[in-house]
Amino acid sequence: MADEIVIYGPNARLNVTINGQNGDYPDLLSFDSADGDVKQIVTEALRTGYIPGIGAINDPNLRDFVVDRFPATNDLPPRLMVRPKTPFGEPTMLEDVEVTELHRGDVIMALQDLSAADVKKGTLGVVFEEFNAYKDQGGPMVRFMNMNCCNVYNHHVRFVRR
Amino acid sequence: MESALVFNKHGCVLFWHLPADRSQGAIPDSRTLWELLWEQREHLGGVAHTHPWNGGAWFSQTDVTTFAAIEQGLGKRLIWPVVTFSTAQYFEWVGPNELDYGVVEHRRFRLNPADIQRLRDLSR
Repeated sequence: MADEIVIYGPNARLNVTINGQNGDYPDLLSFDSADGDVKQIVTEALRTGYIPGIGAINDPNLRDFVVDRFPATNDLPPRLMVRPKTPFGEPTMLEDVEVTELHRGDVIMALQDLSAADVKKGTLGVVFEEFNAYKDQGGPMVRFMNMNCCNVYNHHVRFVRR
Repeated sequence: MESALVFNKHGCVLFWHLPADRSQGAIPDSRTLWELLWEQREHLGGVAHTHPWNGGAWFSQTDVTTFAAIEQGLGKRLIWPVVTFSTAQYFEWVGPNELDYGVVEHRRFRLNPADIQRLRDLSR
């Protein structure tokens, strides 16, 4: 019975794109290397110009780069790719908010038309008085982009940022 | 839903970026988008994206770090319009620091208004 062959150690090719240049790191890496380790290896390689096709970079900053992983196929070995990140927007944005959780300075967005302030759905505003500021259970006071103000209540607005 | 369009140096649309997993607050990281930007790097002018609300157009911390990362990857500066339902602002790197982006008022470059409107419609 033939022994089962298991390959340990570095097995993945690493491709890097930066400064409009693209190249393969000359050595193999472990496919399971942590993102931070991969970026550290690439940072040092970039400083010394170790990657063919990419000129030396004095102070490379890969903080906003990501590591993509492509498992092996029948034709190709496993591959790693270091490239810039591409997201946009505010991932911390919440879908809804209890108005009791809003504080002065919070930016909110109207989830519906608010006739009291002549505000259309989707308009931004800033909280300037918190819930129950006058001991009357009134909702937070918001000044909207059209400069009108009104109290807001649950499901009227969405939190945008603090 | 946040939406994006990629345009060339003349402001013509190269492609719309409308991933299925985008939301009202974010467009997630996308290898597909990066590969398209890389393929088009010779002709690329920039990427516009929406913040689907009425009000001022400004970039988020996520946006500005993405602007800088993509420019570092491509080795070239781009234009980064941010579009809301009521306004649009064109951002560029103004320096001197890595994340110093601002509006360049004198720039004459503008996207086609019909493309901006389509971007807004795709964001509703």
